[in-house]
Amino acid sequence: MPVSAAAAEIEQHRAYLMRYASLQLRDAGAAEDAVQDTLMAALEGWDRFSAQSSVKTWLTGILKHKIIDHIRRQSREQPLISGDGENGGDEADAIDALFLEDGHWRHPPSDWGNPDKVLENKAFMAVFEQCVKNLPAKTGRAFMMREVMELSTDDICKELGVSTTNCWVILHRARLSLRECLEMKWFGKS
Amino acid sequence: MPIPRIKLPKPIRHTIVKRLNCKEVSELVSRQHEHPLSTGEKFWLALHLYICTGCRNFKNNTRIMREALKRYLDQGKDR
Repeated sequence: MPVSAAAAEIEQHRAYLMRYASLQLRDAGAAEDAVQDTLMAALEGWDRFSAQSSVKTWLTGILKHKIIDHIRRQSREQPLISGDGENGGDEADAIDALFLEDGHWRHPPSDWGNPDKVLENKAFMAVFEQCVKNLPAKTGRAFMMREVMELSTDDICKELGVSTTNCWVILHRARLSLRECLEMKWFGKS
Repeated sequence: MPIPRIKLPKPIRHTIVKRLNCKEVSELVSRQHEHPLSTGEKFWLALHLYICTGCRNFKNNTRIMREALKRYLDQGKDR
């Protein structure tokens, strides 16, 4: 395939890669850089691309490395402001706040109905994006590493420098907080 | 979910039958997305989910959130 065709093929996935990088890095500039680096690397390495995987999967693999590089560089230069679950205290408090003292739900989760229907709804997706962005920095980062990058908990703990148990607490909190936000901003209203 | 009907002496029953509360259950539901649970954990989780609508909803909600992230990433396709 000539280079121009390769470039066109790669370019098609830019929007997807940008959403992927933005979810994980939560910083438009950094996401732009990571995607740009990925597209450059892909173009340079195009002849090494074997058609065994899809172009999208291949690009996503490169992007994952760029994102991890960025996160590592960033945590060396400017660690995430602590107090944000440094020892799991804040995370545990945030979880406790959603339950009564005897461990019952303060506001029991409701039935969200048929997922296919709600996930087709663009307005829901906008609310979802907002709720994801509302997660505290470290919580959001851990959750995206798990759900978007699909890293193992072990790898996430290593990147974040926390214990496995702490990692589970952070992810638990992320799910509870995201759920609470969606319940309030979307499902509670209908 | 079949519940084993074994009659145990009272003191043992109290130690074994550790009923989980909703907070603990939500923790197991979340952890299940990361790591397989032990047989015991699975049992008590299933038992609680059988009787608790709120926790059943939570479990479904977490699945929907996971699916939502995937759809969010792929949304360009229909634009």
